[in-house]
Amino acid sequence: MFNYIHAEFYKLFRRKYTWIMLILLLLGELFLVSNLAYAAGSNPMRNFTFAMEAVRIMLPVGLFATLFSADIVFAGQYKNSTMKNEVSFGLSRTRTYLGKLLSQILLSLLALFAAMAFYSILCWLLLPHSGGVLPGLQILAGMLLSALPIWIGTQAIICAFLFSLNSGTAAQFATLGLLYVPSIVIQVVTMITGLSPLTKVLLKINPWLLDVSLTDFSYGLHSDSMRLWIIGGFWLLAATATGLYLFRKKEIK
Amino acid sequence: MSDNAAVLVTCDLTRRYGSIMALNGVTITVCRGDIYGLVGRNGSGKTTLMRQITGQSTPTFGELELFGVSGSTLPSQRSRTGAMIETPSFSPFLTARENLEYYRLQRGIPGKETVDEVLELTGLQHTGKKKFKAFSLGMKQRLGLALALMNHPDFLILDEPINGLDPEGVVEFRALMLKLNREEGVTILISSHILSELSSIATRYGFMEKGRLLEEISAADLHEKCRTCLRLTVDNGAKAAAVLESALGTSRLEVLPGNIIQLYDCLDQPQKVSATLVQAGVGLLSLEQKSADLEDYFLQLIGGNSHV
Repeated sequence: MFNYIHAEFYKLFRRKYTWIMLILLLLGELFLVSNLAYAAGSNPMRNFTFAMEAVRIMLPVGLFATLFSADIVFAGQYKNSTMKNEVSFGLSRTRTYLGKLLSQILLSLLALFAAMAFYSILCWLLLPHSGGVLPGLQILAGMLLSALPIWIGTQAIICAFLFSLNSGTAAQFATLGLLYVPSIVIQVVTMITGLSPLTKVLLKINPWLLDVSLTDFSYGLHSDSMRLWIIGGFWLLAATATGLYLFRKKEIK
Repeated sequence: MSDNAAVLVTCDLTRRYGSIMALNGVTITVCRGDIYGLVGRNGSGKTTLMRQITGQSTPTFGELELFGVSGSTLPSQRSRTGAMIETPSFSPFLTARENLEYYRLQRGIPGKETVDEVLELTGLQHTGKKKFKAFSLGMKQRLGLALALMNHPDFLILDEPINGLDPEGVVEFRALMLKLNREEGVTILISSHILSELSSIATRYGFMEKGRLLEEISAADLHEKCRTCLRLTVDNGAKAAAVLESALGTSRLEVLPGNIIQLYDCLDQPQKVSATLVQAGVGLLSLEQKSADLEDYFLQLIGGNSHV
């Protein structure tokens, strides 16, 4: 497995796409913090701690970011027909699947670390931080730790779709569909039918949805943080088991 | 493993896609040291067979054995093989060296110099920073071969490896295959539409048609079947055979249906043969020198003039 991940990182670090995405991410942060700094001139509440708390609003962006990190690692294996090189050498399909998933997760963690370090440094440089930086950093770390399992669960979903479908674009659309359509459907059904038996069942499912769980949690509440780890873990296991099962049956071309 | 131990055995291998039977009960044996030429038309099942062997597809029915191993431990044996099935495929944004290094790391093949060795072996050492997406078909074929050779395989599986190679490349490829086979004992399973090339290296053949294996034959037996002869059409086959046997003192002849005689002696004396028959009162309708090659043999086998 180490060899597999080592090879994946050798490849992705030689891809321009990887670096372009990272630069875009950092430029986005620069734009955001510059605007915060500009606003801070007229509002003393816009300080370092405030900027750390504002990350909460951006947590769903992490769901979208998984689409890119997965695409960078998977690198169009079906489009370029490179999967046959791995299978015909006798690498087990389980190793290939888990190797890709772990590489995706590791890449995401590296990108997250780089992005948050850059963000924190920018905030420290451009925003008032007379109250100290440690409380703000603790808030940031707490929020990221809560959101992490949900992002990892999403990684597992897109990984399953990338391995099962022959098109990367189709896999991304399918992931977005699974992320956002169920909660919309539940909202619509609830609006139309009111509190019907069906709605009661759907409302029990609703908190288990990845997009809902990421927006409906109370930061700092240990039980909510635990709930996110359980939900993320559930999706990670369910998506990986399904994706692996389908990939093992798949005809490689 | 003994010298003639089987490297690959398939037994009744079948692959069905819906109602299409891509492979229909194929049973072949490739022994250690063989250069096994797989011959067949487009869609005859050659690539499908190779895809089953390399694990890209799983058979609907039948058994597959690699190096004497079958069942759940079979995939691990594939690390002893090198394969190039259909068009070679690599990451388009990497160079030849980077692509090979990626697979070297992934496969845990020790020694960074391995990449340089196979690049030199396949004539790709000077491709520099050129990305795979800018490669010609011939260069892609060479890179595919380099990957197949990188782990020093015991068994090479090559599907149409000569496609896109220039004449020089074809000669180099032939020499490389013979070197690997004779000096390093690599067993090779190869398919090609260029039958003249195949016949210059293969030691054994398998002829496929419509997903079935029609015949397995050694190169020596095929040579024997295709050897040069005088083909005579006479009015009385039995009498002509008796005359030739007694007058020319040979028994190296065959009497075929339709009063056709194939004579494997006196190849440089057709006048003597015709005079002998005429003097004995045998009506000679035609006389021609005939020699079949691999292509003729295959066409005869499938019973038509279809393209290979």
